[in-house]
Amino acid sequence: MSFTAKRIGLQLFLWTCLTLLLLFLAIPVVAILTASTPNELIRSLQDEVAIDALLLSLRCTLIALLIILLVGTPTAWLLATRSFRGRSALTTVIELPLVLPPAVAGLALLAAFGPLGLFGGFFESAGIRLVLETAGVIVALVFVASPFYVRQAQAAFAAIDRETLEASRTLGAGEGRTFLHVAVPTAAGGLGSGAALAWARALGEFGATLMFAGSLQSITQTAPLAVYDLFGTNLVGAEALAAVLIACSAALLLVSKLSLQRSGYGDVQR
Amino acid sequence: MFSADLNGKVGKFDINALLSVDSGSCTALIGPSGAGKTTVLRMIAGLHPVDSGTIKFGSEVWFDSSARINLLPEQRSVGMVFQQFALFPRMTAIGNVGYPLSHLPAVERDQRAHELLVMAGIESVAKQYPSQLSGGERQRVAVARALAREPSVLLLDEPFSSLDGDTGALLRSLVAEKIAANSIACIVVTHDPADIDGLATTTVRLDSGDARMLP
Amino acid sequence: MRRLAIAVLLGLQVASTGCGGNDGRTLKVGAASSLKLPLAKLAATYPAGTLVLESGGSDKLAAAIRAGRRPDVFIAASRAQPDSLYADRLAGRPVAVAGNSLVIATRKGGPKFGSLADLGRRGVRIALGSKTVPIGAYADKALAKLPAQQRTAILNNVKSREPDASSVTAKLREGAVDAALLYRTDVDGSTGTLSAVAIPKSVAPLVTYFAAVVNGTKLPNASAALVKSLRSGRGQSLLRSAGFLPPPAK
Repeated sequence: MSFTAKRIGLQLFLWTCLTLLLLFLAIPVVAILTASTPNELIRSLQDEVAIDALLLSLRCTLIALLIILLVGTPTAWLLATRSFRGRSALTTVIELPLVLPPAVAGLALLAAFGPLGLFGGFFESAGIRLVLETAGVIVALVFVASPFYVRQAQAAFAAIDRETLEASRTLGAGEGRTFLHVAVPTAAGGLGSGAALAWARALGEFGATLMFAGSLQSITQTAPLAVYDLFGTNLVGAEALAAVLIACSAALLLVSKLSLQRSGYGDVQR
Repeated sequence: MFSADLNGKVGKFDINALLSVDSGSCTALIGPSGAGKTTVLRMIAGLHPVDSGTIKFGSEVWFDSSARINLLPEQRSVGMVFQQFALFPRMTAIGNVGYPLSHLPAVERDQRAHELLVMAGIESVAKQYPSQLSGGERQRVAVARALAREPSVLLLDEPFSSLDGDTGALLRSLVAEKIAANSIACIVVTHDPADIDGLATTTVRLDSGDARMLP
Repeated sequence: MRRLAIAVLLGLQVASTGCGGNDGRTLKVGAASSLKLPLAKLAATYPAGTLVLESGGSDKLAAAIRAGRRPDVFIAASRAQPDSLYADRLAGRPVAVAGNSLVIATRKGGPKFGSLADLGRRGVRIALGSKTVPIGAYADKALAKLPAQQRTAILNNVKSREPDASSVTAKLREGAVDAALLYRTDVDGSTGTLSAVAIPKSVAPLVTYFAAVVNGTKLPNASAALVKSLRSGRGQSLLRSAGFLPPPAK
């Protein structure tokens, strides 16, 4: 085969792979969005079940995200700036929910915090109820989504030029001020990207929530749980809710990508 | 009067350096590449571990291995200009220079930062970000920023390398002025004879980690 | 090495039967989750791998059939879905195969309840099936027959409406709720961890399981045979020994 023919063959192969994968991933999404007419979709969304589910999802994911940011950011900072024995093991534990099947995550949460679980008795006597309560939904969301943020935040902090942080110290700022005024703004792109991903993951969480927190309209029935419930008898309703979830997830993914891109301008090389 | 007796390691090789610098004067630290000059500066700033020795400015003890004193970098009155400038990418030039002045009210902080930018000849780029500045402009921001802190000890790592002849002379005289006016002890790592002639009064040579004063 | 090769080939075969088409030998059954135990026993009497069971909420199984994911035989815990599929010509005429009773289920060692009225006590936590799944629909039917005040008190205590009977059972067993309205067979099959309190006949719904052959099946004979077995053959004896009631005489 001539050199040109080989080259064309390779290009063809590469672009065919891309097209196949693109179609495979895009067609189901397009199918959902076009399964019903826009009118039908809008009408279904005005249903009380759908509205309650979306509002609950919004509330729970926002609170979960807040917790993840407040606790995860210092955690990521610590992991990024200190090297100590066992750091890899610690990081692995933090990233474990990334690879756990959601049902397994739900089971694990039950085993730990359920009424008959390890800490069940302790929570009961403290008057804290998680299972079948909105608080339980938030616990499940924090569990599955936090590694998405911590991993990205840790990478973002680790990517900051060490000298930039050292310069801050030589200018009289302690570690706290350096973290707040230099590290966080410099890593902002990566932090934002991780936050968007964590939010998207929390929005789509189903298995762990169902197993741990249960399903009750406006208390624990988040949008994905409502989709499952509606699937039984109200396909259009399920599709409408699914379409909203797809749109939100896509938007968050876009934000995540853009946020990361912008951070590229933050690095100053000599 | 600044004095440092430093014994430590960088990578595989040892550093043993003995320095003393009078307040209001500048000492040049010269030597072949890789001899550990930057490491000596980092040790003085508290950024690199020192195994044994002392670091003192006047009556302030910053480091004393036998007395187990080891002040954190932010507790030492140093100002450092890094070889790669290490500017804060998300702050403007004036933001960078004003950073060490955060204990002042905003108006006064901006005023003093602005003054330094003027003296360094870069007030026109005050509102720009480091990514928008030229190499020479960034270096001048780094120098102005270190001076803003009004430190007791100024540590300069090839501070005028990106500047042309005239601008270099301008910055050199700015630094000399500040050193004299505020009784700063200054150490400058350099390869440039102009620095040695125009700024430093004594020279120390660092050869493979060992420092000797030169006449 | 040969064993490995055979295992791989068998695995591929089983996997290929999951890819939407029958290879002509495996009967696929979609059944209400409360039927899981007896049907698993029935599957064990078939040659290995020739009867595959998927269990879940009857409404979701029916929705899957409508969406094109079709087993050969569909068994629901009420007549609603099979009738609906029959009316839409997606399945054959439904046949009643078993009965059950709705009971108040509680955890052994947990709080005790003597009657439905007790479920309305303050602080009680209850799980039901969701409104569209038979175990939930039956519960709603029973509650509808109660005086309004009692019904409201009980509904206020409902903390979760689960997608199928197994999930309701799970919530009860793990202590998340104190009581649930479940099938008697769920309690019997719980190996001693749950107990049942009967619901008065005036309020109790008639629970009947209906089986239908799904249209378009490639195994019409085997499917029909299975339905017959469930109604009056080996399947029926397995159902009875698992505590299910015989189908209504009609």
